[in-house]
Amino acid sequence: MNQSQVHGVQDIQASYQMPVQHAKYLGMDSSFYAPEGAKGATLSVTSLLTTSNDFLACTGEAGNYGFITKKSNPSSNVLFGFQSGYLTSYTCGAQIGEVPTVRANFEIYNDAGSIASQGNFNQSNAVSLVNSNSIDIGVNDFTTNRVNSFNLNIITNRNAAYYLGSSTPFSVRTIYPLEVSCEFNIAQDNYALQKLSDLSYNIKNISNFYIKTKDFNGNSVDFDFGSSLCYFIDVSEDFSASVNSPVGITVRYKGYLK
Amino acid sequence: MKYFNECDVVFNSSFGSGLVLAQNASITVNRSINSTYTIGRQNSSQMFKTKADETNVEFTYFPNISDPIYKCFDYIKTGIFTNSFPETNVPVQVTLAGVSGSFYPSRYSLTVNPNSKVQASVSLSSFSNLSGSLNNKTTINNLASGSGIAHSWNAKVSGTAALYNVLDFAYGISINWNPIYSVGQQRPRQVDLSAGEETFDFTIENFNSNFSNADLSTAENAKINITTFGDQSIMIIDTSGSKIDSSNMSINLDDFVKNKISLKRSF
Repeated sequence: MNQSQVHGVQDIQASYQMPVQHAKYLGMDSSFYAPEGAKGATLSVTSLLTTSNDFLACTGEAGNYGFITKKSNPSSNVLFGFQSGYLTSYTCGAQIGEVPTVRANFEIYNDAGSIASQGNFNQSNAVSLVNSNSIDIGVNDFTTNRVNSFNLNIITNRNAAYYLGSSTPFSVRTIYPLEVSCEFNIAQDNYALQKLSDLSYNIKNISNFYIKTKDFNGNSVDFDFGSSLCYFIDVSEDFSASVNSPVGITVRYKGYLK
Repeated sequence: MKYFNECDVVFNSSFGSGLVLAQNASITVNRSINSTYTIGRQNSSQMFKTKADETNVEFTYFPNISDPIYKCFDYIKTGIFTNSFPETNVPVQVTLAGVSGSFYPSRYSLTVNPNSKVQASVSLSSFSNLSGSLNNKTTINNLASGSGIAHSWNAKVSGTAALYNVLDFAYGISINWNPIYSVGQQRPRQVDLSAGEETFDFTIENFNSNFSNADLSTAENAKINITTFGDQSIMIIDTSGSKIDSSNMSINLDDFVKNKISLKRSF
């Protein structure tokens, strides 16, 4: 992807959609098909979180290109390629004892499929996986409440504009602000749920949210948006209790990147 | 009852003939009945016709390679500019579900939006009697693909540089017909073309509020060439001679700044 090899990939789903509709008309014996709507392709990649964390950088304005190739002679063995792929969502999640996984979804506005290779293929050495025991979550409420799992999600919606005479957009822009949400499942110790009556302008706000991890060599992979993250507020909580399991709470925060 | 696929719209003229790929169609006979009232009477004293019958047929359709309808409007407009009395090739014959008549082209509009088929709307007027009755279609048409229809992907804009990068385009032409009656006649003795107007609306990225004469001269020469997927020309809309009528810039949330330039030309 963008001339760098992506490591830790577990699953790839790619597809394209031909925007074809059958058109009807008065007196027809049969309808005919014609393009109606924008051409589009999608790519979804699931990978283990590595120190390079390749997909997080794709939240920006630039489009990306990439190729899924055979291992030998990759530039001549493209299985699926895409041009002008824009990240639409990025999700990083983990459970106790598991390496965090990343899921990145792209919308592709230029060509996709069996396309010619582009640029050089740099097959780099494998990067390190994140050590699941190193995860440090910066939410003060959970200091005495065990976190069972988390799911961090960044939505980057895009707006494409087309000129007449072209089936590919001349510009793809990000729709701001970017929405960041995070869901935690915790085993309750002394965590106090919010009240529904708090839902006005008194919602709990996390001012310095972060998730920090390290690989086995001590290299950091951080999700720390700093002051760019506005109003990371507690928007939803689930409470569950059943026999043979500890009392669980799922807390969802949502905020926006400036 | 008839179902939509049993009824067709057929256009017959010296510009071409055949089935119209109509999405909807209507025909309306206006009899212009009015009433008179007099002081002291509670009910109407008389009902009478204020003018002769006028029939309008309207339909929206997908223009394609064999489209005669735009050619018809273009011929009338061009004939006026060249003083060649285009009235000689009208009226045209339109048959809607077996009901037919002689019609004068009065309004035509089309819109070209990104990633969409071009759709046109037409209105024609008749001042004579209709014939026929609701009947099954006479045409057989099996179009496997829409490769011959007009589509925004094949709409090329050329000419003035400011209008190269067009986000969408709309065109309209209206023609006024003046039926002339003799005393005692129900139908017009002749129908004269009195005036017409074209409008061209371009949505572009840039805004220029400085409407000097120089801008007018540069803004009036764009051509919109709409072809089939096989690159055969369906229609060329030429804005030469038009003037900028308005320029409207708008900004909406989560969208690009857009400027709609409207050109106008009268004949």
